[in-house]
Amino acid sequence: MKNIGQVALGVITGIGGFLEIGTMATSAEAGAAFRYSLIWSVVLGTICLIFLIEMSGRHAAISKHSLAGAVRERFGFPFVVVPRAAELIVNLLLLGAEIGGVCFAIKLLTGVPIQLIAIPIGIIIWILIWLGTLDGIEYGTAALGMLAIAFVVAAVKYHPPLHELARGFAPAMPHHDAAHYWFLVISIIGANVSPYMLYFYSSGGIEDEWDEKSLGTNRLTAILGMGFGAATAITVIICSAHVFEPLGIRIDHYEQVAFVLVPAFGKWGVPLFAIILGVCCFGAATEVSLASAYSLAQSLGWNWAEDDKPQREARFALTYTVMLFFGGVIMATGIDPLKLTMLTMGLTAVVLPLAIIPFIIIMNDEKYMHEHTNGPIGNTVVVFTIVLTAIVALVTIPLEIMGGS
Amino acid sequence: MKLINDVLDKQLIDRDCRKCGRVDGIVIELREDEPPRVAAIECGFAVCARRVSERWERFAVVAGKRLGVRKSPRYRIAWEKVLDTGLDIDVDIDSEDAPPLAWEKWIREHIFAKVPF
Repeated sequence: MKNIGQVALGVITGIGGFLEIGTMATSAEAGAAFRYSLIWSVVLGTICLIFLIEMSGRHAAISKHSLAGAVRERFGFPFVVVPRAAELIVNLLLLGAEIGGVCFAIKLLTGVPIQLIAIPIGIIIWILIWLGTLDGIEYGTAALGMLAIAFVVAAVKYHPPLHELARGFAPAMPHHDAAHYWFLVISIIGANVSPYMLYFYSSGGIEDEWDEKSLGTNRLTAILGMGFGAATAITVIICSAHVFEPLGIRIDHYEQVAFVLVPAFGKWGVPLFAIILGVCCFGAATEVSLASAYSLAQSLGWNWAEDDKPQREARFALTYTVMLFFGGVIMATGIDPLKLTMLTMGLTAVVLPLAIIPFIIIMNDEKYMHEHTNGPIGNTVVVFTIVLTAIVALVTIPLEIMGGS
Repeated sequence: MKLINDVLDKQLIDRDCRKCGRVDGIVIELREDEPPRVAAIECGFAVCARRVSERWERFAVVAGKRLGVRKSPRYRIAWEKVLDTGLDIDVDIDSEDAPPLAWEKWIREHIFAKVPF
């Protein structure tokens, strides 16, 4: 019964926690610009994420090492400097974007400008992390994030043509705007496969003292949780394709995305969208700031545990404090949250190999994983997706910035 | 024991089961007419920085002196204090008042002491 409960909680976390600023922005833009043609990239990113989440849970249960700690032990301090620095920079930008998402949601509901509330929102998230426990934060925000099911309801109401929808699941070459198409592919994969999720998930596994008996639950949680989460992301594409594509609207501002639920829910569409966006970004912001603190603390051997008193892990607590402060400052400068999100998703795709390849090597090392090393399918899917995504990202990001196609 | 594999970069745990940094360096003593022996393990940001480049080491030493929280940017633990080299490296020290946790203590007393909850 306990395992069923854990899987159920994992599924709730998957649905409620999967949607965040990156998934929302990339899916909405994908639907508006290319209708259902980019659904395959959500599927590819999710398959890769399921493998990676399962691996990070298995790593925590079997090796008992923290993920960042294992990378440092296996490859040495000089090796970890660059990947860790790159991840922290990307995480900071992502945190800024997530705080921007919460601020935008509040702006939609109250009209208060983003710049005015960015730092106070950072402080509220900090207080929650300071006072809360890991499970409380994870399940609380995930349960509220279940409101994202509104996208599923809207997608059903919009009656998408099933044959066209089915075609979206197969990779295809674009008919127009090739550079933007491929930029969206890598941004969607970058939004799905964010390295911070692995640190967060694996650190949670160590805090909850997972062992060999947890492997089945871990696998089910990864498949069902991420699978249901991805299904929700696909419904955002469907809704966006139905509402924006026929009008020829390209998503340039979050204000446009806010109308995605209006045809389905009428006057409640905008407030509902704002609440979903706010809750999902709030949850993701707590996860990103904690994951950054986990990875730095584990790399340098500091005390770390969200469930312990923050004063006992002062350096760990200071890391998420600093991250949240600067995340708020980024938004307070007046930067456009949508542009920041899209840039961050692209950059995430570029740094993915730095974070993932060393992890895959450890997952194949019997010294850490004993008889639970990776199989060839998991290795191939993850390495192929990550390396290809990074190469495409290196080509398309400059083109996207220059506005070329 | 393979020093690089089994000791370097591993998590240090003190006698109160607290994480107190990682093994950033190993000090080997060269002796005349006798085989070399492991004298100590080293930790501290200057030791880490030295493994990246000499320039980073100089920067870490200067920054450490300016900030003045730790007496020295390097800290040595005699090999005799090493109790176990398994998953982590267990050492027989009380890190609470020792250099490995100096920053932890400083942040607690100077920054978080003012937090009202």
